[in-house]
Amino acid sequence: MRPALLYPLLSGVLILLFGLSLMAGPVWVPFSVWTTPDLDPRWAIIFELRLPRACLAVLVGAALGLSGAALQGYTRNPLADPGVLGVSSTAALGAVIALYYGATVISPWMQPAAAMVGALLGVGVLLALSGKGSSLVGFILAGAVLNIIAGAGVSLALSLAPNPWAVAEIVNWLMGSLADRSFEEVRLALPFIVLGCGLLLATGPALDALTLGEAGARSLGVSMSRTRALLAGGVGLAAGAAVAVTGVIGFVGLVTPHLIRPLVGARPGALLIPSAVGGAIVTLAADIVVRLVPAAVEIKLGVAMAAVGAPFFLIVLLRDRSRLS
Amino acid sequence: MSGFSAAGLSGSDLHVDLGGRRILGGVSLNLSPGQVTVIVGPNGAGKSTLASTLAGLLKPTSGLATLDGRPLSAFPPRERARRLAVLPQTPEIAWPVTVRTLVGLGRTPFTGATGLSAADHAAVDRAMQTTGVTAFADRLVTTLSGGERARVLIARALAGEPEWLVADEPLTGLDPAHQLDAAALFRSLADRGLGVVLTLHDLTLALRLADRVVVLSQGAVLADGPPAAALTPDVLRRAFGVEAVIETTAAGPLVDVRGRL
Amino acid sequence: MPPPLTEHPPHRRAVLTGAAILALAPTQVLAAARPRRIVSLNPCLDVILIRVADRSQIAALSRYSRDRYGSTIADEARSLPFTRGTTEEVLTLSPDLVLADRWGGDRVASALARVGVRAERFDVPETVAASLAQVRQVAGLVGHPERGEALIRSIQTTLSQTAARPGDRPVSALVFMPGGFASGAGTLMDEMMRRAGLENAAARYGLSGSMSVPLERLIADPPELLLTGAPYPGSPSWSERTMEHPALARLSPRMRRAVFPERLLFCGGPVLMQSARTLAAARRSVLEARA
Repeated sequence: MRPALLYPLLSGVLILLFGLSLMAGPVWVPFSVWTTPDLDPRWAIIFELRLPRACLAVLVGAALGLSGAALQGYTRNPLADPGVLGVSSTAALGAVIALYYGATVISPWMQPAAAMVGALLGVGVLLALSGKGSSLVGFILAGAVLNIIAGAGVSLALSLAPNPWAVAEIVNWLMGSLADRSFEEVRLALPFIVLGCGLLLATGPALDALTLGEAGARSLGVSMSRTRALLAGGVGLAAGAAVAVTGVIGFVGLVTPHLIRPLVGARPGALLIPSAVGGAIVTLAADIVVRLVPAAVEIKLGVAMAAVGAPFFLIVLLRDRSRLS
Repeated sequence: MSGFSAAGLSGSDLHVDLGGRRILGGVSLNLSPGQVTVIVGPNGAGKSTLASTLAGLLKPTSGLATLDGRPLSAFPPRERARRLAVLPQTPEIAWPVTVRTLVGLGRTPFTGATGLSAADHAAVDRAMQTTGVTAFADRLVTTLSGGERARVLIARALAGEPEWLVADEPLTGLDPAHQLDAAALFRSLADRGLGVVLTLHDLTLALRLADRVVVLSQGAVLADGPPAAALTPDVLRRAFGVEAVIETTAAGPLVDVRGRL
Repeated sequence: MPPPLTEHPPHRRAVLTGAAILALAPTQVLAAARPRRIVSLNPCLDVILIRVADRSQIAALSRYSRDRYGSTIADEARSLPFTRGTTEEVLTLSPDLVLADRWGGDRVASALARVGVRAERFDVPETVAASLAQVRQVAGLVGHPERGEALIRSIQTTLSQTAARPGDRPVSALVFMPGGFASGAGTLMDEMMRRAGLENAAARYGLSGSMSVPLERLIADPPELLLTGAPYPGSPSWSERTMEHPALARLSPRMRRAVFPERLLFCGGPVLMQSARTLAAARRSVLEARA
């Protein structure tokens, strides 16, 4: 699909879903309320609850979609994704440690900072493993191990913390949710996500060159160390800040590039921006669905994404296993 | 060291240690453009290592690899990439892209984030024409045969319009017909002024294709010169441990391996 | 009406006298049988135990009672030994009576029963009557039924003092805990609210038991009184941030907020007195603000 057609299409879908997100919820708010801030408390539903939630869905979705596309491009592996590879979990561990051991008393910025450090460490481990062209299975296993370790770390940290709501908090962090967020979270995450996405977009030409393998890319004058630094920094900042405000939401980075490839082709550099927009669309759509599903308690977004993403992952793995191994 | 000249691709006293082992021990050679130089030798002799070092992808433990008198490591990577194209041994194509996209990757040392310019596209078209793959331009590389894919990869290397092409075992795995096509292509490229450096396993092809043969054995140069002078039965005996005879046939010289020592 | 004792034959007299002594001297018998080493594994049972048992009878309380944030008896509990509630620790204390709740204490209680230690299990009381019955039961088990009755009387007095008068207008209220959890119909909290003249808004949102209220529902249909906990000292968890959401601030003219400490939420028994007073005070503040 030509870019001239693709970008307006994606943007249109995004705007449509953004509008739907403002209207979706257990309470129906008539349009007349939208212009009466002080007269009707339901105005707060739209502007203090749903608007920040929609903004956050777009930011987090873009961060995760772009991180997934960049990780897939670098590792030449269509199953890479910050959640699957454990980067989101290590970010959550960083945030939990900072939050529950009092670092946020120093400054509320400590929480996203710790999440980003956690994400950087996770990416670092993965890059160290993929540098020698490791097999698909080895790579996924490394991600699974990171997930287990970080998840156990979160549970341990919270069970030792003095907060009586520790068990509920573990669920919050490991299952991911956009519920009940405010503009404070948007403000906290925005600068880091924007910066991280910028770094990731700069890896485009290098990711294209990597189509020929590391030796091929280096022979084309691409600096692998610079690419690794941009990738680690970008994923660390973008995925780290996203996890800091919403917890672990997985599979967005996995699913979005697969949805975009049929439209744009498989060249990794071409997938970057569309994956960011696509990730925002996927996250917004999923968030709307969890709010409209009639259940006693709102389903956590991370759970919903896993319910869709895990079968998707399995299908891709089964379909392509002969090609991938 | 004899005849060290400033122009051309050279290695002087190259020593390369990898994984605790000495792979190359004191290799010196000067290669001129407009020629096909073929490096042969048994497995483990260091052919790939020598090719990578001459291509600037591997830094020698001691010694110097230079291009026109300037050390390869002193070149900014993009400038080196513009002048010297490399075809690595096991070519990887990670994604199912179109032929045109793949060949376009050869323009990476020239482009930035803005993508391919009109000049870049023109160079891509020329490269595809030289290698005869223009007909597949919009097909996915995954739908091509082995021989077609080999030509596309050569087109990618040519898209940058380099002065030098270093290819490590480019004919391995190709059908005989495709091997001949590729060999003819390398010949024509050298005739146009490109400096072509290949490593090959097939001794007969080396004999017929090369303007110059370098025989490596256990990390050292055993012979270096025109094919008839470098690939003698005596050299073959010492390098490969086989008894062989060079026969002349209607198609050209033929290396006939008679038996082991 | 049986004939007087003196008119019975002698051997029957002996039997009847013996029976009379046994029947009329329960306190003396029980005094001999009072447990001397009681271990409680549940903080709500701790509160009752402290009020009805002798200090010397208590071998250990649960560790939760020492927490100043979560317990109403923290200072007193800190002057007594405590246990973390694992089976080994409890056995080391050589108890002759263990009080446990059915939730977490069940496994320990079963394990103790297997080695012959007497363990009594208690459910979470869902009505005031059930809570008072627990007080009576615990007092009986520790051998001081009269203290149990006295405590019950105090609780009942406080409840009637703080109860709303029949003609009073009910004030709609919601108990809003971290995570948006509210106490729905059929819980002890629900009954306490009704007694204090508060109409539990949880019913409006269709909740039963303890479930979370989506913020949107709350904002669309706010109660007159929102009872939230005091934030836990240290960093706020995500659940607690819900209680401080900016959207709630916009409701302030229509919805009044009062603090209902979480430690009062979990337990019945003597804690009901504090709960009742807090609820009544909160209700008064709403009515005064409107006047």
